[in-house]
Amino acid sequence: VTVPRTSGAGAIEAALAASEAFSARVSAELDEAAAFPAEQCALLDEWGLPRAYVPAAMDGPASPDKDPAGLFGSLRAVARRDLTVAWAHGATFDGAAPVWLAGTLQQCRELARLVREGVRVGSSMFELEDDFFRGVPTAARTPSGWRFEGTARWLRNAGRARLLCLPARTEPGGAAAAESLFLVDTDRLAPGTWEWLASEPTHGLRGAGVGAIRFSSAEIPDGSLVGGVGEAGTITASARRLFGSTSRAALSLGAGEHALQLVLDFAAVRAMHGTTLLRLPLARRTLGAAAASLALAEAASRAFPALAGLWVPALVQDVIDELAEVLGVRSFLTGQHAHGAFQKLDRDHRTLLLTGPPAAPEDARRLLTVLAGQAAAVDEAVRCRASELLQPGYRAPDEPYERLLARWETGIGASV
Amino acid sequence: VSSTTVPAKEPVDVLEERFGASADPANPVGTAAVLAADRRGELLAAGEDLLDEAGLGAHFVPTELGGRFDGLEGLITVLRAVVRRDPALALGYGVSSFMAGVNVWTAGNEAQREDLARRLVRGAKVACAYHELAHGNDFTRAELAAAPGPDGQLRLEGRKEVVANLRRAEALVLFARTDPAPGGRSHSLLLLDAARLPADRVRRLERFGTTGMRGVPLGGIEFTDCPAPADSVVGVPGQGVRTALRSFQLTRITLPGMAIGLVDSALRSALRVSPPGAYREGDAGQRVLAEVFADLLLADVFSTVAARCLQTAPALGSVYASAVKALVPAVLIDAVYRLSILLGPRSVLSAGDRGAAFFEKLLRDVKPTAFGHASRVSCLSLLLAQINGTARRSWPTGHSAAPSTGLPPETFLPRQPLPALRFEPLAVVSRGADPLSASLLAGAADHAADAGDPLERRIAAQAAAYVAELRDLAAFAASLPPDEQGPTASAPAFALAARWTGVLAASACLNTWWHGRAEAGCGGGFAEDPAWLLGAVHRLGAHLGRHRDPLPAEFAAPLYAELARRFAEGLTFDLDRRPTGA
Repeated sequence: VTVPRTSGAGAIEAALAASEAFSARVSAELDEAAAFPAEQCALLDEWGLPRAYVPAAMDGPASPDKDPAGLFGSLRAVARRDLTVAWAHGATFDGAAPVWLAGTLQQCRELARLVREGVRVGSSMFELEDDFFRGVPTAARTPSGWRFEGTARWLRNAGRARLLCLPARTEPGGAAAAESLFLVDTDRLAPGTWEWLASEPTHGLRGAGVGAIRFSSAEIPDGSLVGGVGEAGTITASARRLFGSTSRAALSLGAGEHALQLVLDFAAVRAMHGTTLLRLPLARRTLGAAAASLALAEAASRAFPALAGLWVPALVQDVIDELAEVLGVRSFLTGQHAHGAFQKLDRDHRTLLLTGPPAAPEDARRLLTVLAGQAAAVDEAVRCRASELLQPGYRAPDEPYERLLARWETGIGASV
Repeated sequence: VSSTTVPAKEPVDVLEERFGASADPANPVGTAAVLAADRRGELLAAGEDLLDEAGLGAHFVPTELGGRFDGLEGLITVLRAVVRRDPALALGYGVSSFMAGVNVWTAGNEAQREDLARRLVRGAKVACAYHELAHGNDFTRAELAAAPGPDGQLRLEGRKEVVANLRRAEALVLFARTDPAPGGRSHSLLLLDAARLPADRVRRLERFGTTGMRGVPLGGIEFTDCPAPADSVVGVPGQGVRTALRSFQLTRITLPGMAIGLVDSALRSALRVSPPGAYREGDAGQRVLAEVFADLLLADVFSTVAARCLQTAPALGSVYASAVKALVPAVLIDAVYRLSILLGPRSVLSAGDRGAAFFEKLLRDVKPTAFGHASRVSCLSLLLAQINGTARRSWPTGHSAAPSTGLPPETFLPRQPLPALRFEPLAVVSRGADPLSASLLAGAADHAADAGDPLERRIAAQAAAYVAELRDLAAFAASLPPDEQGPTASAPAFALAARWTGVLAASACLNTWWHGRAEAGCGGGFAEDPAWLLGAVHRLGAHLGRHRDPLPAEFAAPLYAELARRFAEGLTFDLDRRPTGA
């Protein structure tokens, strides 16, 4: 494998295509064994993906919408191969985001250095305000810092991360304002004061293990607090809006594109009724609408970066469900058609979808209304698809979908 | 003969008793055991033993051949009880045997029927070998060939793939090409004794792995110049496609009908994770649960009416079975996906007692409901091929009324006696007759006048809306050009077929309501609350894309109350409302 010298989505994409470690066969084996994609993550480190997780300017809040290092495109490219790998590696970006937002300059610089070196950051898997998914340890003030007690559950990168960005209860009681955010460096914890707990098997994203960490009188140094005491909730919410939403939309879109490519590969060779499945009008319409939905997801990610993370996964799951119908039994078999890649990405994506709350209906409507009405800025297929989703019973003409599908057929659709 | 007045226990009650309480961790056929078997990728052995002892195989065999099969409604009831415990067990134990069986009951000679009946009553497995990966549901293109050899025997050449129970089946019904010409008269069905296949001419393919229904052993077989007795042909040579299209009308209703048990269990599983008390009155969670309950009732009413229709109007199954297989699986799958959204991350935890591991299994097991046996698109194709003739012969076009008459009332009275099931009248096409739509027109006309109270008015309005839908559909369908009536038709043409399934489902719901009301004492309680009907029809509109509105609170509240009551009392959520330990 040639290691690209430049960073950014294009270089990552080229490296992915050439790497056996990112083949469908290896992806299936990892999933079957529920194994962490360690080799794949190391390769992504080597190819410079962690640089995309660090905002260009460290002396102030980054503006993720500029996407200087190609974060969106890079994660999307990885997700197009294997959503589990993208989820596992991208956890570092989501785990670091609250520090970029609320950390001190020193905290940011130190974290930036570690992330660039390939240190993994873990954070909570579920973006939900549900007590069931919020194992929160307590943090008691000590002269030199904080003493952690208890278990933090549902962590991404558990067992793999050196750094963990997690809330701890700094005041007794259950109120959210009683929780503060910490960046815990497990390398600096005394042995015997903490341990990883076994990970939970999940429907999808199986290799990226949902785990937990247990603290027993673990001494956390003073400089670990991120932001002010009691600010965990507000910081986390802002980080998800400003950073997490973008990465989530990128992962989802990549998985949706993976699904469409797998189904196109099948439809192009499947003989049916004297032609191929891909040439049957009904299938073409379904595939064209799927391509349009993905283009719509991309447009939404650009126009509504803070909302896209909530909205895109639901749209993409609908796309995957409709594509599964075209793929038929191959959407269900583990060993067939690219080593069962479709059933894996379906489970992976549904798991991703369920880790976060859906967009509010009024927000979704606003987003669709804007995208349905924009004239020059977005593709006609995007406008048509947005209109279809807005109005039950409305059927857009075939032509814009046909044009988009033709782009996919010539192999450039996924990198518009 | 006993003179006792205590009603005999129904087979499903016996089965429920044998299965015991799912939640009991010590139950060898309880949920913990089901999940463990799924993880191992095996069928639950204790479950198979239980079904052997219960004699489930006999339920696949017509009563005149010594079995207990006398109609789809009864069979669905029994299979649904198994599905509630473990969908993979139901599919892997014997649904494939039933699929093989209906071919032989429909077209086999006496000796073949008796041979197969004996095997199934004994509990043997029979494989239904139609599927080739290269052709999927489009079995008219199947390649496996059976050509006459010089010794008068047939010579088999080719392979079948992704066939349940192939390795352990005693016998197989094999769909083979007997004429190289394209078209519908080039295939024949063979009934083969697996033990008599020469070992050196048959290769067993490696098992096919799946993401759901993991315990079901899906195999493949490859024949190389393999001899088969000439008298193994089932029915008239060259009529294999015809036999499949006739006999699979039974299974196209049975499979979606039994899959309702999966949604029943998914609902129960969701309520176990978040008990009724977890939801505030009238909140979105309650609404989603009520919607899924209404989805389940919609699916049950439609598949029940179609099942009964095979006995009151058996010549029309080609349309009604296709409509059920096209619509119901989509409703059920959507219901499970909606529940997963409601449960959130709990639904993706596949182990432990904190999540909903059983729900996670159902989330995987529900998928083949869509493509298994016949896909939605293949069923819509069958409907599309008949829509023009039906519109011109039977639907109201312009100002003319529909000439055909409706279905006999007992079609719409679940559990009421029916004429015996007969295989001979099963027909490849319905020749333009559509009495289920005619029943909608008749019912709407009869009940337009008695719309006194507001609820009656709403029911009448729904009836009128679907009558208008049928008229609109008729206008398009009656002028549909021939090139839009086949599998190469455009998406809008396919949409007409999908709308037809909507009219048929609406008719099933409304007529079940009207006839149930007319029949004094039938149902009672919840069955007499129009919430289920208006809820089911509301959900039908959502599934058809007619609207995207949430279920109005006036239906959601009583539906949710009924759901919570049944959950607390351990009753099923389908029309049967029967005690279950699931």
